Amino acid sequence: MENDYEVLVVDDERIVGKQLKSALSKDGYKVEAYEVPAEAIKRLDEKSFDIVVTDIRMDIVDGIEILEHAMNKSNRTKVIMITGFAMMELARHAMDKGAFDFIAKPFKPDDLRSSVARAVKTIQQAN
Amino acid sequence: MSVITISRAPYSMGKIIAEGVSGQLGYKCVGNEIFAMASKEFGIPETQLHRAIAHAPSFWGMLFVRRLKHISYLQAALVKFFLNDNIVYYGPAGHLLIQGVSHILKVCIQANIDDRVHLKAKTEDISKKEALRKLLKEDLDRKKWSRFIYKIEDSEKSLYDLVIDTGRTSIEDVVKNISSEALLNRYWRTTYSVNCLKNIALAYSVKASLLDVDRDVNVRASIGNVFIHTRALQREREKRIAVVKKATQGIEGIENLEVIITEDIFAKYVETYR
Repeated sequence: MENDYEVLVVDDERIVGKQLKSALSKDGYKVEAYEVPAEAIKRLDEKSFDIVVTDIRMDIVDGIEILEHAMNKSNRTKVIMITGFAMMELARHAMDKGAFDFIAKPFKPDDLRSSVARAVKTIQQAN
Repeated sequence: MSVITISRAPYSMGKIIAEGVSGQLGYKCVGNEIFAMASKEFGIPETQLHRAIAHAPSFWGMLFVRRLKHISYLQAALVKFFLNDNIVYYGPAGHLLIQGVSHILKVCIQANIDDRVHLKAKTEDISKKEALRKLLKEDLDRKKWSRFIYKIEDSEKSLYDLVIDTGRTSIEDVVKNISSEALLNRYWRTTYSVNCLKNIALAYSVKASLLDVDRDVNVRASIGNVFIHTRALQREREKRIAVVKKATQGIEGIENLEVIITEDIFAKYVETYR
């Protein structure tokens, strides 16, 4: 199953990024994964993605900066935040900044799948 | 995209405000209907559920465990109901216990006592003096009830996202303020906030089923994993685990169950000196 939606995955834990890339690729998305956030930001400068899935707590550049960068580049991009340090205030902060969804780690693969599917639906409705 | 809970003391125009917000946002408005929902879900007569929260706890009141059980049923029904979208809730039964869910906007309405007395006297056709006496009693009962259930004061401002004084703001403006706050991105549903609610709903359902076994049982749920903390004598450990597993059998949403037994020091002490 192929589709045209491009997804950028950012997680400084290589294994997580790899798993997310594998799961989303299986669903037909074109996925690029980065474990160095600065490289992800550089990539975001080069091209727009439909969906960005980013961890929040990372060294040097955190997920909120990735979110802001992606939103500045294109407000059409849907950013899904994932974190192992989920708390109500952090969720509200991320949503205030324009995140599409907020998911706590560990999560079930279906949680991410359905979040990405909702993001795709929202993009389709906006077109 | 959110759930709005409105807490208020009696005769503070809470229902009118809730209906106003519901009308403005097109959300469903729910108050005491929660009793019928809990009654239907758990097969407990509505009158008993009303009694469990109608009066402050007292020595001669409803039996302690039964009261706790009925309150747990109400809370479980309430949390399950909150899994629906677009709700304004102004009824009783423990919405303050639902902390940490980012898409629930918690509002507290504060009205001055003179306005409340005036409204109560007019509504019940009694003197202002009588209205004041009754209101003070109701407020005291509410405080006792809150301490009994939540172990906190429901007037504590940090429990709420919005505290509005109706003495300083017109009802129309209160409705507008709540409605515009509810539309902020921060109160949108997220996968995390929905999972938090599902965890709380599952924990309450499990707790309600175990209060006959241990009235101090503590239950936590996390994406299908349920952790039950209960006290028992060491020699009754295996028996307790079996009882817990039997009592929770068939509760929807449990994927793994872990029973953590702490030695019941009080029972051990009693047994030693029997």
